[in-house]
Parts: sequence; C-alpha cells; structure tokens
Amino acid sequence: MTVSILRRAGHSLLVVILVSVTAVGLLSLAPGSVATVILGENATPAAVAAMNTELGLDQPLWRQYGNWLGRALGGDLGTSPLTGQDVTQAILDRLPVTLELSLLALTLSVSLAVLLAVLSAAAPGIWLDRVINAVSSAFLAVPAFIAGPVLIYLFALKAGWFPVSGWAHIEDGLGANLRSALLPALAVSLTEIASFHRLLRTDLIGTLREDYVAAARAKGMPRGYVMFRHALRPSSFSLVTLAGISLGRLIGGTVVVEILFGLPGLGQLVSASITARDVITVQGVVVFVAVTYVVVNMLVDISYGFLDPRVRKAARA
Amino acid sequence: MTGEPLLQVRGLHTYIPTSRGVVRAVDGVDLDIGRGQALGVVGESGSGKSVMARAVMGLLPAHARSTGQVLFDGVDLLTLGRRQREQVWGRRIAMIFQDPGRSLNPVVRIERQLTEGMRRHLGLSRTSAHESALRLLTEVGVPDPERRLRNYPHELSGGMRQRVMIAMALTCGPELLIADEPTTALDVTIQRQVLDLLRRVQTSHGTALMLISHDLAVVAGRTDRVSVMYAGRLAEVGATREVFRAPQHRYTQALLGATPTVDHRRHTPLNLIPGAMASPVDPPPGCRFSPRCEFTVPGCTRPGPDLVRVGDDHEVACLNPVSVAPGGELVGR
Repeated sequence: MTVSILRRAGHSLLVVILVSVTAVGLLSLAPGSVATVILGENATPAAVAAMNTELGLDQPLWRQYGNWLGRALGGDLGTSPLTGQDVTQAILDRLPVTLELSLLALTLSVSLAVLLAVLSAAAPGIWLDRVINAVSSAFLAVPAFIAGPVLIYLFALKAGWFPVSGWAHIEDGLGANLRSALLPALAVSLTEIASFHRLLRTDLIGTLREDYVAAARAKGMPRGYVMFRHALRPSSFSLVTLAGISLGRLIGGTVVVEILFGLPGLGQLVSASITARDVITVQGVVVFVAVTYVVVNMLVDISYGFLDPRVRKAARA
Repeated sequence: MTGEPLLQVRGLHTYIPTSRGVVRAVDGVDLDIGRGQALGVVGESGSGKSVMARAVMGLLPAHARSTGQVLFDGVDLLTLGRRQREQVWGRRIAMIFQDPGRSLNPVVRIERQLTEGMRRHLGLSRTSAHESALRLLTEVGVPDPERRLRNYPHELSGGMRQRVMIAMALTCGPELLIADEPTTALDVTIQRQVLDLLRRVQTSHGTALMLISHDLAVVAGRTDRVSVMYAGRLAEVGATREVFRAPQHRYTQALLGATPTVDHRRHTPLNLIPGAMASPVDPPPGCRFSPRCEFTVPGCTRPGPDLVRVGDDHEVACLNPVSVAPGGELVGR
C-alpha cells in the first residue's frame, strides 16, 4: 500500500515536470520576449538586451528552467516581470472564478447527464431515448466557442435573464454571482453532458440486465427506486472516471469562455501571459493546473472505494 | 387438490423477437399449483422453463410478448398494471434466482436488500424490519446474523448467499415461491443443504413452490407434482411419484435414462439423447421431440399432440407413450 502510494506520488511529480518543460519549450519557440512587451515596439536592441540580462533571459533555457524549478519546489513560483505581481498570488486571485465555473459546469453536466441517461436507459429504443440521443449527439458537436455566443444571444440579449458578460463576485450576492456564472458554465457543459450521457446510458443498460436488478424488481420495488438505489451506483464507475478527467480539463480549459464572457479567471490570466511572453506566469499556471489534474485523478481513484465495497476490501488486503 | 389452485397458467405463449427470428420460448403451457403445493418444472436448457417463470414474474425484456393467462388467486397477472403487480411481486409471489452471486446487489449491504421489501410492503419501521431480518437469517441457518446484515454480498460464501436469497424471498410471507434453478451455481455439497432448506421453509410456512430444474433428482423427492417441458411445450404432467415411477413420454423416459444413479454399472456409457434441442425459432411440426425420438409413429409430425390423461394425476402428450413401466424408482439426490 505504502509502496504504491510512493510510486504514485513519484509518477505524479514526473507528470507535472514534463508538463512544465513542454510548456516552457513551446513558448520559447515563439519569437519575441517579455522585454519587448515591457519596453514597447520601438525599444533599441541594446535596451532589450539589457532588459533580458536583468530578467535573466539571456541565460540558456535549461538554466532558466532549473533555477525556476528549484524555487518552485520550495513553493515560490516567482514574480511576473510584466506586472511585478507574485505569480502564486495572481493564481490565487483568479482561482475562485475558474474553480466556481468548473465545479458549476461539472455539477450541471453530471446532474443533467444522470437524468437523461436514466430516462433513456429505462426503455432503450423508444421515442424518448431516440430524442435524447439525438439531442446528445447535437450537444457533442457544439464547442464552447459556438455555444457561448448562441447562449449569450438567446438568454442574455433576447431574454435578458443573464448578464451579457462580466463576473459578479460572491460578495456581491449569491444570486448575482450564480447568474453571471451560469451561462458560461452551461456553454462548456454541453459537450460534457453529451459524453457523460452516452457513457452512463450504456453502463446503465448493462446493469439493468443484471440478475440483481431482476431480483429487486421481483421484490416489487418501484422502477424509480430500482433505478436509483440498485442500478445507478454500480453503473457509475466509468462516469466518475470521466468526470474526474473533465474537472481537470475544465480547470485548465475554460480559457475560451472566460475570454468570451469576460471572466477574470485563470484562463484569462494564462492567455494574457502567453501574448506577453510572460514565461514565469505561464509556467506557474501550467504547473498549478497540472497539479490540480493529478490530485483530482487521485481523488477519483479513492472514490472507487466508496462506490464499490469490493474495491475497499482489495485495497485493505 | 382442494378449491381453486393458487396459480393457474393457461395457454401461456411467450414470443421474443430476435435478429434470427421470433423465438417461441414458451408455446402453450398450462400449469396449476395449489396452495402449499410444490410443483417441479423439469427440462433441459432451452426448454423454456426459465422464460416461463420470468413471464409469470413480469421480468422479461419489454419487447417480449406474453399471451394467455397467468391467474394468481383468480387475478390475471398479465393484465394488471405495473403498480398493481408491484403489490403482488415480493409480497405474495417471491422469486429465488439461479446464481446468488449475481442476484444480490454487490454494492448494497445485506440489511437493506433484506429489509427494503418488508419496509415497502408491510410498512415496517427500521427496527422491526431489522429484527425480522435477524429472525429470518437465523431460520435459514445463517450464523452470526447481526454481523451478516452489515456485510456486503462478496463477504459471504455462495451457500450463505443463497440462504440470504431464501430469507429475502420469505420476508413478506409470500404465498408462492418460484425457485429458478436455485442450486445450479452452488457446490454439490451445498446443493442438498439448500434444497432441503427450501423444502423445509416451504412446508413450515405453508408456501406453494415452483421448483425449476434441469436435474430430475432435484425435483424427485421435494415436489408433489411435476411438469416436464420440452422446447416450450409440456411433454408430461403428473404426480411426481407417478411420473418417475412410470414415465409415459418418450422424452421423460430418455431424460430419466440419461440420469446417472448409484446402481449404474461402472464404465458403461450413459444413455444420451441423440440430436440437439429443437430450434425455438423454427420448431419441427407436430411433436417437437419427434426428430430425436426412436419411437416415432406416422402421426408424430402432424400438429399436436395434446396432453392425454393416462392416470389418476398423470397426463402425457405422446402418440406412442411408454406403456410398460420400467422398474425401479429414481433416488433423489
């Protein structure tokens, strides 16, 4: 058990380092440097060179990365040369927005997908199932950058139920906060709903053929009870795995909707930093997202034990 | 038999559409089970006995079509609405499945699985359902029931699980128990214990029993009457003792001949039935056993035959029945 946890932790560290190396490597391939952005387009080459030396950007890439990694392992993600802000602080400032957005999107996706999957699996092949499948296929084909404008047009501009853009902090009231978060969350949810629905529908149909479901029905238990008490839990393993992957992806991947809806989250931070060649900030965010991803996946693994007592026993042994 | 039988199946047909054609799993079956009586339903794999039981319990997939009548205490279960049938299932008719490893939900504790029916049908409180569950587990011979209630199914042995299934079937004091191959998935040494338990609770609770098995020996000493099924139809029906003493249908006779007994001479081959089970999609005309039968007469391929009375409580659907009874009685396992 201890060995497997250690192996797991080592594996996770390797993943995080690989991710940050790749991010830095890709960013260094792009032309320009943060010095140009700070000094402006008309700066003399001498001034740019001087600024690069000051920021340590004239050193070889591996040494820059090594220095940064050494400090990062100590918990210091560095300071943005562009804004002079502490990167950790910048991430923490933006995190609540992205986290709320991701969690809201995940909650929406899971609950809607469970509802749809239960409805379609109850009688596969009948009209209701076909309609839900068609809608789900359509959702799967709608990326957030299309769903976003459409939702803004329908529910913000036409109906006026939601703000067109911007973020209301939770201190401004929960209602306003949720209203500003719902449309962007829904925009990223559509594809998730579709994939969750398909996965859970298939697993549910399989579970409903099991003898223990027949046994529960033979006890005269009502259909809804059998579905939620007996069939849903043993059908949800793949869904939990996929939802974990989705949450990791959402935290790092709400860039499009954050820009579209003007939300001050991590996505906006990272996209602004990339444009400005602010490698330090990009590295910080990327590592943070990678760590989150790894942690979420570990939580997913732990959750199997809650879903299935047989896993619990195997883990104890 | 006194009064109206508890369960009367009349002209039951169950057709299941598949990609290979319509499977006529059950094709005209009549059954009677009196109150407190035990009926054995015997037949090889594919004879339609399990589908018949599932049709009675309404457990078939939605695309299966059942016609005919399943009269339980005078009410046709096939015409009842879902809510009304839920009042019958579990409460008045309970079912025990083949493999207790698959018929207990792996992620639900034994306690909930045992008590959910009682709490719903009998409106018991959590504590009285708990006590009732303890009493039932003790009755079916599960040691340390308090601990077992907190267990998950995988923490119990196969025999214990089937005992739990029997206890579960008894929770609401049903009038009819349907046991579909209740011991096929168990170790041979456990089979007998479970069968004897089943018979014991059946007699002590005064419950009627439908015991389905491919194994004649399982049914032999434990049922009052027996129905032999072949390819979705009844071959022979009668008092168990009578059918085993003097089987009349050629299929029953062949089935008995294929059963190894203690007296069987060593190193001599068993009498097998040649050929394979008739196709359920495109059954042979007339008697469905005729392609495998050594004793066919010209009429065997014509439509029919119907059940004909040959004894006090003994009917057979055969044009050339065994008229001479073979000696010896089958010894139940």
